[in-house]
Amino acid sequence: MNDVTSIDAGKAERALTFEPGAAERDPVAWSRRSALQERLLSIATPIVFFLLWEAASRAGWIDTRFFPAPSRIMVSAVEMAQAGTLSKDIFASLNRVLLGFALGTVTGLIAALVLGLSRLTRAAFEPFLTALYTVPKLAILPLLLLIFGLGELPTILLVGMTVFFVVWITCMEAVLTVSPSYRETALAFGANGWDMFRHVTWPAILTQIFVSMRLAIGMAVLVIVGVEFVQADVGIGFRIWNSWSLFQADRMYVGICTVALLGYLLTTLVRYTGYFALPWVRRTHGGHGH
Amino acid sequence: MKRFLGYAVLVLALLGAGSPLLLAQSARPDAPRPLPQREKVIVGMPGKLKQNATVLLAKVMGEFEKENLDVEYSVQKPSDSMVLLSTGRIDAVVSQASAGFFNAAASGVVIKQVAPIGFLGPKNGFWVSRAWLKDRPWNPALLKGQIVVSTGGNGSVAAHALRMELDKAGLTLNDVTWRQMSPSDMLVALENGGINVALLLDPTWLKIDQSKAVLPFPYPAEVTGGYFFGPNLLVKNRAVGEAFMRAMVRTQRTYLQGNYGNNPRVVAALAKELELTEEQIRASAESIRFPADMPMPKNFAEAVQNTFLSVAGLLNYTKPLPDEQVMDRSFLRAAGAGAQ
Repeated sequence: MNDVTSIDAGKAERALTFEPGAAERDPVAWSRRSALQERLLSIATPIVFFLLWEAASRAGWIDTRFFPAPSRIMVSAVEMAQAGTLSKDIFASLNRVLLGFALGTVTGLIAALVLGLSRLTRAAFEPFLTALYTVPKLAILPLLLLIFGLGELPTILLVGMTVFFVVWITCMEAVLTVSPSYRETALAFGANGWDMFRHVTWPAILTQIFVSMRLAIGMAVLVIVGVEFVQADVGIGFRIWNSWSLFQADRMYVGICTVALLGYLLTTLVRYTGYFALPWVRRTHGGHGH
Repeated sequence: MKRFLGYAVLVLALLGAGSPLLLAQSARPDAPRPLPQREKVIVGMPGKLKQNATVLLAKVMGEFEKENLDVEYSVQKPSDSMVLLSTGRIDAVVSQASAGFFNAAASGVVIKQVAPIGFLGPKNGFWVSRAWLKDRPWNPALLKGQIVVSTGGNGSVAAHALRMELDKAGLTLNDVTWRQMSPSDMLVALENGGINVALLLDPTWLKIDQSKAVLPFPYPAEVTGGYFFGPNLLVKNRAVGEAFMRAMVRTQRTYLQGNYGNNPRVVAALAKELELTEEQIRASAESIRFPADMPMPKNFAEAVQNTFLSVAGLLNYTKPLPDEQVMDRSFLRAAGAGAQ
């Protein structure tokens, strides 16, 4: 028990007492309970949402032609899976996302390192790239089609361009904000350029690399759905748009749920890759992987 | 006094001579009959296109005004406009008897086609790349395995038009792959050889380089889009729907017959509405026809549905819906049109 006496000039003294709570008395059990609580809430919230939706559909509170019941959507998903449509669409979209993501991440990281480490290169290219960043990527699609023709390449390039800017900006800022004291210490120990990069810059920016990848993978999924709305004959975005055009709302929702799930899985994959690749970050932040 | 009486007799005689004509005009089914109070009608359309000239001219030429109608346009994608129509948020739509429309009707939504839009002229249709065709004479069998590009995909009436050509070679819609692109992308891709077959409609075909692409078979004129009414005009306010249709029939018969490219007033109005030059309007005046009797063939709905039923997954049902569930010719008949 801690007694703290507060002193306020001109007023009577009061004692403030802090008793140890559950977290202090049994930190291991408390941590386990908290984790379980959080896990249950994260699962229960969407379940409650879908149950309410199902109840509203069955009670006729919502128009099921445009908002079909989740059970109906599930039936459509099974039908589409059995027909092979769903797997074909998922594979097509996933292929485009992963190739575009890989292309954008590698080029974005290279640009971040080059512009981050070279003052003159940064002065030459940063304004130009910043202006390009704000151009809506879908507006460039017709130009890509003109240059590269039909096929997967324009779509993959468009995803790559979106990912590039996210990775470039985040990682370049990380390079620029590496603490000067680390550099000074490395210089004091006789580090050359390569030593500086390998032992100071690279470890310092690794966390931000994974943060940028986590942001970028979500945006890659977003962009691919938009591109497939206007330029595809297969893919989840195409399925969503096509189903809406055919007044097949249940199939449209299958597409929406699929893209949401795909985005969640890919983002989680990137997050846990960073979690295992950066064990020192895990130790510093208490090991919850958040 | 005698002179006054003489003039009065003359005036009465003239009125008497003209009255049968006046009576005949007012007795015409499409003659203006203004509504007792001003009514607003919102018309959804994918854009201001030449095929929609009737509804555009009806406003500009004051025909809607004669019926005491205040017509407003709302630009919407076809899929969105059908939803807005079915929920009563808009009153009429310029669209087509697509698979989405039939699925909506099958689900119980009260929407029906009530009139056709303009009939496509001989230069509209499926253009093919000369580089692909080479010197071969046209044979529908060449379509087997090809990618066909259009703005609407295989759920649009264009699929029915293509099916009529595929039938000649014993092929089906399952023997081609549909892809969607915007008109400008289609034009470029066709000229560059990126695609071999594309549906080009007015005014896109006007820009095609005919040394690089050719139109091998005519597009069936009767396979066209239409005007659709929703519950507001079909059920709640039929009088407004009839007034709207009278204005449309009058407009089509008065301003869009023959070579309307020779009518400077029509050309100027269309150029302004469609944001084209008057020269372009005159040059393409024959590319879309507007029949005076606005026909809606009886078997059209069934034929189009059978086309969609031949492709798995397009329609949510297995037998064509009856004509009366999806077509309503009563508005046209009330206005003295609607040949079958």
